[in-house]
This record gives sequence, C-alpha cells and structure tokens, in this order.
Amino acid sequence: MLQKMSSILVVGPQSEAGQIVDTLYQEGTVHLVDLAPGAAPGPGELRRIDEAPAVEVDQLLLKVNGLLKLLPAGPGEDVPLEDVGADLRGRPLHEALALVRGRLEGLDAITLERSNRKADLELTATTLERYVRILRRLQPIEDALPELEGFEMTVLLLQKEYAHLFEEILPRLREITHNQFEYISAELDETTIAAITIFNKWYSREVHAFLFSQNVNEVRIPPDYANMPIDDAIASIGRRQEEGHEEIGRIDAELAALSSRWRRELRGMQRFLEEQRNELAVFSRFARTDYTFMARGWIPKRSIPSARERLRHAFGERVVLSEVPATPGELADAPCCFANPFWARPFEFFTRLMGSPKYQEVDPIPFMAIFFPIFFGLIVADIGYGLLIMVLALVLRWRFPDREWLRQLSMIFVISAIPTIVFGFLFGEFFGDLGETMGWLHPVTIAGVEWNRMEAMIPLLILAIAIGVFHILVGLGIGVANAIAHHNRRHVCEKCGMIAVVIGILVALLAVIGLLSPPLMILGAVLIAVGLPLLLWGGGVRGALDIMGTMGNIMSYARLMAIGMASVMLAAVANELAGAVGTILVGGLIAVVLHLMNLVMGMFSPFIQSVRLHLVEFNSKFYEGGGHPYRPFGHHPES
Amino acid sequence: MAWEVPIGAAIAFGVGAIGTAWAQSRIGPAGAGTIAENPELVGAAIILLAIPETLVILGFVVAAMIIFMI
Repeated sequence: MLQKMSSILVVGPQSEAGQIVDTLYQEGTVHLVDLAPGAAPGPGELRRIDEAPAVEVDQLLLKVNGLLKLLPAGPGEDVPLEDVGADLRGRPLHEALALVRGRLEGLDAITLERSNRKADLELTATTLERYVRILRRLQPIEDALPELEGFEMTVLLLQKEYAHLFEEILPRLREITHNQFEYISAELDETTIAAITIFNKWYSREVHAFLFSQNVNEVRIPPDYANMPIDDAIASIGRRQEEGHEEIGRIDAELAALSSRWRRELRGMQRFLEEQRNELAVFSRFARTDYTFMARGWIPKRSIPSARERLRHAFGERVVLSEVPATPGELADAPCCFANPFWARPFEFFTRLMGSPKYQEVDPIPFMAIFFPIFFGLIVADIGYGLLIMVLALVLRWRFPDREWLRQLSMIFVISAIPTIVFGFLFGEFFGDLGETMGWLHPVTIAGVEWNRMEAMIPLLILAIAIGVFHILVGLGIGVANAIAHHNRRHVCEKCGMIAVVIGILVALLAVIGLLSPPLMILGAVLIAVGLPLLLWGGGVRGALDIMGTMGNIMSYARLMAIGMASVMLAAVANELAGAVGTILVGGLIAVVLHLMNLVMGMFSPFIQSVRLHLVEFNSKFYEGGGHPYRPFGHHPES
Repeated sequence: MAWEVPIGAAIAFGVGAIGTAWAQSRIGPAGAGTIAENPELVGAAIILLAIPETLVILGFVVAAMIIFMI
C-alpha cells in the first residue's frame, strides 16, 4: 500500500537559505518539486535561486576521492570523523570550503608524490622482471652471441591471443632481411609470448619500420645489461629489484602512516562535500523573493511532525512548514511512497520491472506478495528443491548484504520457498518421485483426488484455471476500486460488466458440461446479458472484444500446471537415469547434475512465468503505472 | 485409443510450439538489442520473451484435453 502524502511549502528568510536547505537535507524526508518552473533568475516577485558555486565543491570532492583511493584503508579507518562534518556544517559554505582546501594542500602534494614514485618503482619492477625472463631465454645461446658481430637482436612481445600474428610477421622479416634472420619464440609469462629475433644490422631500419607499422611491442635490453655476461646482468637486475622492493616497502609504510592520520578526517570531508553537492544540485528548484526563501515538495503525512520539529529546533519561528491543499493535477503527479508490511516489502523489487504505481492507484505489491509465492510454489512444488532454494537465497542474501535489489530478490525466493515446500508435501515430491519411491512421502488425497502431478493432470489443470479465474477477478475488482477512486463511471461499468460476463460464461460452461445444475445456465445467461451492455457502454467495441482476451488470460494460467509437470518429469527422469546406472557413485553423480540443472531451471522459469502472470494477465486488468517514485532529498546510501 | 487422437494432440502441441518458437526468435534478438542499448530494460526484455509461451501452453492444454477427454 502507499503512504498518504502531503504537499508542503517551506518558507523562511532568504539570508538563511543555505542552512534551511541543509536542514531539509539532514531531515531527508522531503521529495522536492520545482517551485517556479517558469521563473528565471534575476529580479521579479518570485524567481529561481541563481546557480550556486558547485564547481568548487566538485573539484574538492574529486581531490578528496582521489586521496582516499591512494591512501590504503586500515581497520576502522573508513568511519567518517563526525567532528569534521559537524565543524564544517556549522560554518558558511565559502569558509568551510576554504578550510577543506587548506587542509588538503600539503597532504595532496606529499600523497601524490609518494604514490607516483611507488607507481614508477612498480613499473620498473615489472620491466626488470621481463628483462630477466628474456635473458634466461638467451642463456642457452650465450656462447654463440659473440659470433653475431654485425647482427642486431630485438625481442617482440605479443599477447597470447594474438600469437598467430607471429606467423605473418616472421616470414615477412625473413623476406626483408633476405633470410639473414633467426628467432627463438617462447612463453614469457601467462599472457605474453616473446620472439627473440636476431638479424643483420644492415636491414635494421627496414625491420624496425616494419615492426612499427605492425604495432608490435618491441623490447630492447638496455645497453647496461646487454654488454655484460648474462649471469652478471641477471644478478645486477636482481640487486636493483631488491632496492626497488625496499623502497616500495618504505613508501607503503609512509602511506599507511598518512592514512591512519588522515583517512577518517577525509571521510568526514567527503561526506560533507557530497552533502553540499547534493544540496547545490537542487538549488534551482527553490525560489526566492528579495527577503524570502521558499521550497515546495511532498512529504509522507506521518513525517510532518518530525520535519516541523527539526526546523523549529534550528530556526525557531523564523521558518515555517505548512501543508498546502494539492490540486487534482498535482495529486495525480504526487510521488508514491510504499508503506508495505514486512512480508510484502521485498516484492517492491517488481517496480523495477513495471515502474511505480500512480499515487491514487491501488498498490499491486501486496497482491503480488500473496499470489507470487503461491504461483511459484505451485509450479516448483518439491520439498527438496524448496529447501535448496531457501538455502541458496539465504546464502545470496548473506553474501551480498549491500545490494538492495539482490537482498529483495533473495527474500522473494526465501518467501516463495515456503509454499514450494508446502505444495511439495501435498504432491508428495522430494527431488521428484524420490521421496515416494523411498516410501518417505505420498501424495495427499483431497476431494477424492490423489494430487500426484504425474497422474492427476486434469484435476491440476482445473485447479490452475480456477486460480486464474480468481486472480483475474481480483484484478478486475481492483480495477473497479481504481475507477471509483478516479470517479470514472465508464471504467466502473466496463470492469463490472467484464466481471459479470466472465462469471456468466464460466457458469454457463460448467452447466453445459454438467458440473453445475442445468438451471444455473439461465443465471449465466442473465449475467452475460447484464454485463455485455455495461461493457459496451464503458469500453465500447474494444471492451467487448476484450472478453476473448480475458478468457485467453484465464487459460494462460494453465502454465502453473504445465511447467510444473515438465519440472517433475525432469526430476523423475533424473532419478530414473541414476537408478538405471549400475554403480552408486556414477548414478549419484548423474542424479546430482540433473537435479542441479532442474533446480536452476526451476528457479528461473517459474520465476519468469509467475512474474509474467502478474505483469501481463493480472496487472492489465487495473494497473496504469507511470507514477513517480518517492525520492526524498537527503543522504541515502547507494543500493 | 484411435490413432487420430495422439496425432491430433501432437498437431495441437506441435503447432503451438512452432508458433512460440517463431515469435521468440523475433523477440529474442530485439530484446538483446534493447539490453545492449539500455541494460536496465533486462527485466522487461525477459518478460516480453516469455509472453508468446502462452501459445505452447494453450497447445498443451488442448492436447491434454484431446487425450484425456476424447
């Protein structure tokens, strides 16, 4: 369900505009609307607030974020220092920004210098490591190298996925050097292949020009190392590497010391600057006269006392928050703020697929929270799969606690696993027919029907269609409620007419096939006769044609039975195959693989089909959508 | 059971399946293109892909009715 929203106007002295905006930001419950969309900055009775100096805030935030990236985070060092934020918030913006700039000045220079030096040393270490590998490859032919007077050596490097290019490059080099060319190719590391090439110096210019044109990475051993025995060169490089590692260690220690001294303060500054950036970004939505500042927005009715109290505490009677009556047009555009009970909240995830409902619409989320798990459970209906889905979803929830959408999705699976287990018990399924075969379970008999999904096809089909009828009638009922809320008589008649016609057709059909007593056929005909004119008046010819669509929608619920049956058949096949194999180990392995495959399909396909039944069949009976989600102005962690 | 019954059921189910496959073969690439342009629409694309499955489901229902009711 949706919370009651109030349209509010905040009025205060223009001289305190910045602090008022900051207070509203800290309160974090006002969904701002553009107060004067037509007004321009400049003189006039009501005008927009000129663009505030956001560039400087952005620059400082960039600097702080950069420093936080460079300074390593130690334990507990990512908690913002609250004193810093409080101190900065207590000052005028320009003074606070100057203070931040001053604090960053020295730190910025030293951190950058040390980080650059570390990056240089790491790059050098990588290059030296590469030289060592190349020199080791050259060791076997070291004795021949002095004879290569008049020859030049160069090393070509290629990523492994482009190794086939050597086949094009090397013959071409042979051609350029008139066959005065040799090479050894070898793997340099996990990703790179090297070709050490030796060719006559006479063709040096042409060879390098060709390699340059082919964009091949060429490495030349520095003369310092090239002119000494390979063992000495490797030892010399080793000494340099060691010196580099020592210096990197020293820099790391310096950066860690800087981090423990500064990181929490930087987090405090970051939080303050982000707040200022968010506040400045919405400044153009506010308006002012010469002496007055105004902000307009929507706020949940129950949050009004808290917002009023905060403003009164900060400004006394100088700032007033008043409720203003909203016009029907404004009400239609009001943001929708969900106030669902805890068991329905995860299902707000589906607004990502269908958009937000309009403020004056009936919220479909609680209905989805009731029907979705039932549909999912009816399709999967297996105690073993239900337990596994629950465990997997809980692991997912525990593993990614910060991702709101994943938490909601995993909770939907946890809730849906409960009816899965219940229906699994009713149908006597534990990893397909394993439970029944082992004598642990047996399908329950209700109303004279043994609910074994592999045998009771027609009763299941009837059950699925009956659920479809009920679900569609609920959808049409909500459509009536929406039409009444919008005072739209035609829609009320259309929806009521459709309900009467659908019930009339079903009663008549059941009477024809003998499931209801024949006189009830007259009741069906009466319902159709009453419903059809209402439908025609409310929805026109399109409304009448929609009868076929609605009946098709009802038949579509047959998927609840059909997809479930496919799933149980696959599970039975997994058990059958496993049983047919002579050895327990291989049979068990086959069963595990097939059941896992079925489980993945069982999580994906029933989910999609249940969503589809809601979004296509159910929602089309009442849902308009296109509403604005409630986005309060304030600090909200990323989800 | 006369031979026409399973043949009829097979036609009902098979034609429905072919219809679904044809529709999904058109929706799939369009959905993939949509996701490439705007990854946020992945949910909508998957739902659109599931819509033509009604055809095969209805085919299945008719096939079941042919086999069990005739």
